[in-house]
Amino acid sequence: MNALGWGLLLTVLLAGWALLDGAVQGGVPLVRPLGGRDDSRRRVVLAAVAPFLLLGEVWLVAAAGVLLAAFGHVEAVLWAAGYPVVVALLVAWVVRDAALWLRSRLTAPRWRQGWDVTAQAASLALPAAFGALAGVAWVRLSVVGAQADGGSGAAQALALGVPVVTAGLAVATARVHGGLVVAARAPGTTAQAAVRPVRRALVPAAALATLGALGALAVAALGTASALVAAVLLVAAAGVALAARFDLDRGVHRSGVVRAAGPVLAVVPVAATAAVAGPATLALAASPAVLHGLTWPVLGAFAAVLVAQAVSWRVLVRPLGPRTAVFL
Amino acid sequence: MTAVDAARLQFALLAGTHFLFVLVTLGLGPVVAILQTRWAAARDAGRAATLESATRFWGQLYLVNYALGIAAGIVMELQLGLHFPGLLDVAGGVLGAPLVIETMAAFFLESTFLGLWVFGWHVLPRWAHTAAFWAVVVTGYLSAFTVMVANGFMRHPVGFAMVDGEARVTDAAALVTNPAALVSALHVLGACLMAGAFLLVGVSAWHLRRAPSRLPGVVAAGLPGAMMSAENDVWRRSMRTGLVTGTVGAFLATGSGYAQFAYLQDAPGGHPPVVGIGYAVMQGVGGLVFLVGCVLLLLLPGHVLFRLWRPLRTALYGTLTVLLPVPFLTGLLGWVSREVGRQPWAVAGVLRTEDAVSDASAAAVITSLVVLVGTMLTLAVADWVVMARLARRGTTRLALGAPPAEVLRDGDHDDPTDGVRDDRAAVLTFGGTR
Ligand code: HDD
Ligand code: HEM
Ligand code: HEM
Repeated sequence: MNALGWGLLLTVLLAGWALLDGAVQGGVPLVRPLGGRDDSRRRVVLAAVAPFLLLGEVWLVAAAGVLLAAFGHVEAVLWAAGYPVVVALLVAWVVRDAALWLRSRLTAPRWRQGWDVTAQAASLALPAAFGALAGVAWVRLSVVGAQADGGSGAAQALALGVPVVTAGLAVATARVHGGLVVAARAPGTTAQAAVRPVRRALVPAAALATLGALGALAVAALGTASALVAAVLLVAAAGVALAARFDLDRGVHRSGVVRAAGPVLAVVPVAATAAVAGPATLALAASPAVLHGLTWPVLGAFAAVLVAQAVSWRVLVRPLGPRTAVFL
Repeated sequence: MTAVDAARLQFALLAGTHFLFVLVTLGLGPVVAILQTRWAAARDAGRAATLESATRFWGQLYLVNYALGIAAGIVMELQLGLHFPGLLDVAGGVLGAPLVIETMAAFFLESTFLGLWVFGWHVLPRWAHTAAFWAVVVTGYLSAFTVMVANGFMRHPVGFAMVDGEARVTDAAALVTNPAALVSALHVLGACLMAGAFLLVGVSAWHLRRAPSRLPGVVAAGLPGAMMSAENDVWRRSMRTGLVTGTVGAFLATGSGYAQFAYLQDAPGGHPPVVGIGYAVMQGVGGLVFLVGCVLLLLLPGHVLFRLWRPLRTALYGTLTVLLPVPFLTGLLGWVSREVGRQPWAVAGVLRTEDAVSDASAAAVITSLVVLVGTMLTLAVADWVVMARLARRGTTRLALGAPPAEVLRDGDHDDPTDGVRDDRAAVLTFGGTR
């Protein structure tokens, strides 16, 4: 497999993470609002996103492995420029996992409520840190980074602004996606209540996507042509968000657009980043000898993973019912 | 503190934390898998109930441990690139292969199957559910082995050539059969089995020691012919399993431990004292555990162990509980010996540690040390507190594998008003739209 193949694999892994783990990132902040003071209601919200936790986060672990093996120099560039963001990402991720796994193990109400607050905060920080890191990639893996170092004012403004916008975008899109997953899996009133926060998040998501599209246009104007693709993707995502909002306002909760909005929005930050940073990333790939040597083991493993995940999703993604295993 | 020192200290502390969880994951995994297999195969209802309790109890501890094991592993993976980019520049061509196979093949599958096991509990057919856990165990061992291949290369590099300052694999088979990977993996396996066994034995002994106060007198004395409580049966079974795996583990650890000295001979000498202390402690612990394990195994036929003279029995149980941390501390010491023994090299004879560290400022690295290590240790302690509470609670109110309505009700402390209760009833039965 050549560098392009590895780049596509990396994008697929990151998109898979955004899609699956995004359900957790967006669902967990609803635990307290939807569950209220009733612990079993809170756990119903958790149960709606629980299977996505273990099966979702490994996609980012695998992406980090691919980054390390095939794009070690990209990793070095990103980590050097985004050091605090990487540390924040790690902390948020680890804290969220621990909070979710530990909260229901003891019964003391304070224990549970304390972890719920922690999980909620970490579930906002996680997409924010990931989005900010994506923004760092936009800057460092395009012409913007060099021009900002060279003192160009426009580039410097982009270098500061883009990570903020992508961070906000990742938070807003995860919120939409997670809310829709809870609405699809949870029973009765909980499901209905989950639609409200989704509705509220759609307009900010569209606004941030539009801002991101403007940023991408600016990056393209400075010289990285592939950013045009990102602009198109982001505008399309903003359109989907607004259309979904329109349907929800009309009381249509199960239209095609509403169903598509979650996955589309969850994936768009990754897709846009791949478009902006793709060419520079491919140029920094490991030597062809290394890439070819790893091809078959990695593709074989990925095929096995896809089969295992497909089977698991068939078993696990069904609306909650008397045979749901509640553990979180 | 320089950035190099901070990065090394941070790596050591986080790796040590990760390894404490790994010991339990790898040590308890096969035990849970075997318990579940025997449960699936059991025909007698009473026996099946005991094995089900045992599977769910140890499985739940496994899961609570795994939660932080994953988290600590994630930190490990990212910190390699964060703090030791030089390692990837020089040895990335070699280390990349095991690490990417580990994440793609092993972790990915491992977590997928574990998710299927936990959340597919009431949905999958019994045999498929059991197979899912065996898959967790096998992929877990696969991932540990690939890590050992990477780390073994750093300890004792083989099968490579330097091309333009970068290490390239020339002989993949040599990389995998490197004694610092293969023999050491067996050694780690022994250490893990021992750790899992000490957990089984220590917790079971704690419960058995308290059993008399909970049971009617005859039964508690363990007199022949007396019926045993179902819970006591769980602890006796676990104790027996633990004694067997622990003795096997100690045998593996000592056998492969002495075998490791073979490849260490060609390494440059002159270690700091901690390395020698580590070797001595490991030899002492490994040997003693094997000997004592053999003696205790001899007491198993005819349940002699459980019928010893009361005061002796209580003292024995108490000692076994107190000794629980021993394999964990020994394991940490082993790693300190291995990693400190490698210094000043990151990859022995190829790359110096100081040349592998990133050029992040000392202040940045120290900040991340405080933040990451502080977070990880806090969460680890919380996790161990939970494990201790769950271990003490025993087989009552297990969440893993219980029906959802029962699990959801476990936090019911307050006396809900009628309105709340109605609402909750609706949630519990998942009544409503579908
Ligand atoms: C319960 C744990 C335990 C026990 C009883 C032992 N070991 Fe060990 N030892 C480990 C746990 C461990 C470990 C944590 O698993 C290490 C660290 C790295 C590794 O591969 O295994 C290790 C490493 C390690 C090393 C360093 C290898 C290197 O630097 O590459 C040596 C020489 C030994 N051991 C020798 C022994 C001997 C001679 C033992 C008994 C007779 C023994 N160990 C028992
Ligand atoms: C999980 C068990 C492990 C423990 C407890 C552990 C422990 C340690 C310790 C104590 C050090 C500091 C040595 C010193 O600087 O004097 C260290 C350094 C290091 N270890 Fe490990 N280690 C473990 C596994 C690994 C593995 C599997 C790898 C690689 C695949 C690895 C790679 C490194 C690196 C890159 C350093 C820093 C550079 C150096 O000091 O040489 N370690 N580790
Ligand atoms: C540089 C060293 C290491 C790195 C980068 C690393 C990385 C990781 C990562 C990313 C995970 C999470 C996997 C998941 O999401 O399922 C993990 C878990 C795991 N690691 Fe490590 N690891 C290291 C050292 C070790 C060592 C030395 C062993 C054993 C000998 C080990 C065995 C395991 C096991 C069994 C798990 C499963 C989860 C658990 O611990 O409970 N790792 N590791």
